[in-house]
Amino acid sequence: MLIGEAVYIGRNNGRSLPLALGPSSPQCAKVPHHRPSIQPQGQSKSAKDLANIPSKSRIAHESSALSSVISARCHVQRVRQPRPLSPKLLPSTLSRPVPHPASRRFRVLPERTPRQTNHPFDHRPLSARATNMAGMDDFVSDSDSDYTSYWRDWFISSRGNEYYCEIDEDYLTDRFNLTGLNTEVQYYQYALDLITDVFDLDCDDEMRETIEKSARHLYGLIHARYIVTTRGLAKMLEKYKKCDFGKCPRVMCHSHPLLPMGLSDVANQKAVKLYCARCEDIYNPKSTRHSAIDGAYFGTSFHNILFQVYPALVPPKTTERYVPRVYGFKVHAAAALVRWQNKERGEMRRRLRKMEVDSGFAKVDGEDDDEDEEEEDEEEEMMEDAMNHNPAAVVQYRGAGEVATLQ
Amino acid sequence: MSTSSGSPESWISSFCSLLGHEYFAEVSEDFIEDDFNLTGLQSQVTMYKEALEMILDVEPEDDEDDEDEEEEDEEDISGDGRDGLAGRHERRHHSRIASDLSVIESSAEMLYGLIHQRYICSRAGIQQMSEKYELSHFGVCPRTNCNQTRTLPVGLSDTPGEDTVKLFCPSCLDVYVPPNSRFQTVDGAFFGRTFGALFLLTFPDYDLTKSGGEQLANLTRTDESLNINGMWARNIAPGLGKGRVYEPKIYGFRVSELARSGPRMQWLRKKPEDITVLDEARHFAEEDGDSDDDDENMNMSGRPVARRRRPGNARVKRQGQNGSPMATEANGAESEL
Repeated sequence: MLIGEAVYIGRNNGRSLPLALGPSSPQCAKVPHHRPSIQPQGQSKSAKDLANIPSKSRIAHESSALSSVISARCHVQRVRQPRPLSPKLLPSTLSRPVPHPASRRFRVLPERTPRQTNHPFDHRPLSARATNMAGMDDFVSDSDSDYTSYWRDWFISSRGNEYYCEIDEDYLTDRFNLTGLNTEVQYYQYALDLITDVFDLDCDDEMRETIEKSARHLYGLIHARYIVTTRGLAKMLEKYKKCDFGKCPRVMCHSHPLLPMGLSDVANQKAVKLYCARCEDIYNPKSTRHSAIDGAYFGTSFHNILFQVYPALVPPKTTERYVPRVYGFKVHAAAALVRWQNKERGEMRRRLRKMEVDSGFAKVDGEDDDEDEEEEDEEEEMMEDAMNHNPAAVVQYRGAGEVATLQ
Repeated sequence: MSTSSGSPESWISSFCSLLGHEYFAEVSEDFIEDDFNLTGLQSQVTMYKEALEMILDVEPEDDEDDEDEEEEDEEDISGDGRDGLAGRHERRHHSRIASDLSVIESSAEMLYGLIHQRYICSRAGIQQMSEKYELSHFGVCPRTNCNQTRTLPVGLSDTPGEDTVKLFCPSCLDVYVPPNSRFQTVDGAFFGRTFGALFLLTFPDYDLTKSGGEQLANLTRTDESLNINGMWARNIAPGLGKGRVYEPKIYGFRVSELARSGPRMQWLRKKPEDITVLDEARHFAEEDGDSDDDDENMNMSGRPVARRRRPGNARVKRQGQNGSPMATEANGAESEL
């Protein structure tokens, strides 16, 4: 099917691509890339870079070029250089049945790949794979393009990585987006190759482990940059709406969805935290497998940018809160703090009103005072009630029906 | 007759060891056997008597119909030695129909929960809960700036069937949903609204910051003996205040309050930098003078003019002299219900 696509690109000079090819394509197509003018240059540059890597086999070149062509499937109106395709490819793809587009993403590794691992890190060099494939040369590139986004697919769907979204191939292959990351990641080039599924280095297991680790780190760092782009925001927004990041544990937030965030933009400093837009506070992830993720993979700005870009999503704020009580009486120490906090809130609302900014509270102005009065009435009632029923209370009354311990 | 309270086979201990019942304390049988503590519960629980018998592992004595059979059962038990709990129950109630038994079982759970609500506010119960608290049985606060402060189980209502159990964080004075879904089946009324706050008033000397890193402990050590509004100053919402309010930033720049998506809820996590601002009674006295009668009353009730307290657990001792706190608890709970 991918080859089919590639052929399609070739025929149309890559000018307009069918929208319904990938599951995510209709949505992606609506969102323009954040730097469309720079893209084509970066793309060709990256292709050149790839061509300069000495360890690459010819097949790898072809496949990387091919995969970047394929990655264009979800972008409309992007002028691309027509890629030279292997002449062998055309007849073979024409004869191959095209699977349903939707099935591609969830397909397991092709059966003909001899050594099945639970992730697409193939332990043999590409040339070895090619010879094993029944000598069918024309299938080599095909199998490689099947690999497109396999590493990322595997990475995102593996347990504990539910917070990540998939980074577009486009974004990954644009070197501009990766500026400076080569100093942060060990074996940067190999790690990037692994992420973009063009990795073909023959090395021992230990080395592979290291590269694999670097690849995860690199993916995280790119992820932090990607999710603040227009398309990244849209992807994360989808996940946010699906409550993929969990729900706010605070009772008064009534299970408002959370957003992942970091407390530092520098890696290896703080673990990921979850931000609730309703109470504007941050929480630790419930499960330990999430609390091991580096916060820098999401960054300190992402969740704020999301609400700047989509201001309609800012949830209405409420003054609803928990007040500790003993037999219906507020505890004096806590109640005094609540009163002070309410005063702070009142001041903030006054400030905002002065500047004619919407305070975002669900209730209308002025209702606040009524509410307070009501509360006080309620308190008095309660106090009388308790006095009648509970004369031997260990507590003493003070202020508006609060208790303080005996001194 | 009843088994000893420490026996692992008692209904109470088996109930408390069920999955999801980790928050429950084992109510002592002495507490349940005191009818005074059960005042008013009869009207709230169906098949009250049978449920109570089940909780206490007592053979139903007043059932004249199957008295003989019950006696046989007792002999059986003594002959067999100790059987499993379920087996004994089955045999004890073999004359009853199965549905009846399940009704009794569920009302026994309800009754136990309601007794538990009263028990954990009694002297013995709150002591038992404090032991569980020290062992972190109730989990920690999910809020990042609370630094894993241990939480307390509370209900948002004293009436059963309204809401599930929640966790009260004494550090930010807020309530949270327990992280594990198995607690979603536990009724909040079995812990009650009072327990959380009463716990803090009963054990004022708990260092709430203890589990939360040494830094904070060092910071607050200076005003250790400052007592405000009936609590140690260091224990008034240690998780709130400057440095513990989240400030949204974009690329290092704070998001303005004037922005549509700017911070609006910071008041919820704020605390005055000078905690004595909260000492309303003193401020009132300073403004209006001491001639007022009300003011003198407040004086007696511990007007907290930042004074030093005697070392030791003075408050707990004083509470002991005030007669049985259980009496108050039962009354109080009744007036709530």
